Amino acid sequence: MDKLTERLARGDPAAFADLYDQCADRLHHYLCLRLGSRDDADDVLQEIFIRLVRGRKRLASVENVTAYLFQMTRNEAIRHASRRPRARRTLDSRAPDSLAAEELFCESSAADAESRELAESVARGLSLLAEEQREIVDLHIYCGLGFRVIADVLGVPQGTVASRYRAAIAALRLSLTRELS
Amino acid sequence: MTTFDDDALKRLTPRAAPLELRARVLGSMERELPGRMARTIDFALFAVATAGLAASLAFAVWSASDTADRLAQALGPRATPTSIVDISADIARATDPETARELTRSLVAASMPTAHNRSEALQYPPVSSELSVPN
Repeated sequence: MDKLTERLARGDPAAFADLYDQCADRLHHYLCLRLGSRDDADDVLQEIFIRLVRGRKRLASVENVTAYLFQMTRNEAIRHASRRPRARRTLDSRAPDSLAAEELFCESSAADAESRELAESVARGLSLLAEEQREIVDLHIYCGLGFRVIADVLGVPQGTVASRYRAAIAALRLSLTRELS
Repeated sequence: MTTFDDDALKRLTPRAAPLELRARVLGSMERELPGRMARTIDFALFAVATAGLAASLAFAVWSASDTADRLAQALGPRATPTSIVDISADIARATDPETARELTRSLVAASMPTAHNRSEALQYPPVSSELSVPN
């Protein structure tokens, strides 16, 4: 069977459907975190896949299509935020209260109070992180990307990704422990 | 919750993209893909080719039906071949002038090259009617 990138480059609709099924949920979550709005995330995700189809010839030479897609998504989120003042605020280095737990986590509507509390606490904690830390936490924990792929996506050394992640976890631990105590 | 660690983050389930978004995105991708464009172009080419073929056929039919008329108008009626005149003369001698004229009409019509023999043959009665029967 052909590689996914070759099928994508040929314009095989089933290959694009496969790619959507593999990545859409993770990309959408990342966009929600960056833009602070599920509606904006919907629009941007659609725009990304349209751009991907239009530039499909380039995909034949792409080694890691997931990293490429996240890179595109990041660029598109930045472009979108530059056009939308509300989203731009979310992309500022610190954006308290801009992330709603119900937009990020299923547990926000869970029956048990402990899960709901955890979802709200983590959403608040993420809001308090610097943007570059928040982004790495989301890419690693919720999008399932390794540090090496994250480094490719962000265009920074892998060591930088690892140190930012550790700093983010320490900051989250501090803020959530303080909140819970 | 009393402590926080990585596992606390991992216990949360990220919300998925809306289900209806899939159809929207796949639909917009399909509109951009070459298969659809090729199908559209194929259909357009087929329509143009069909229209062209129909126009050609119509012109060919019109030409075929009209050529003989226009030739006849331009050049006058076609002369009755000598061989037919000779045969008619022999038949007139053997039978009667009316029978010879009828047979001449039939022979002239049969010698026409198109499917409109009969209608064109009717334009030649002057030739056959002028046929003189030798005494």
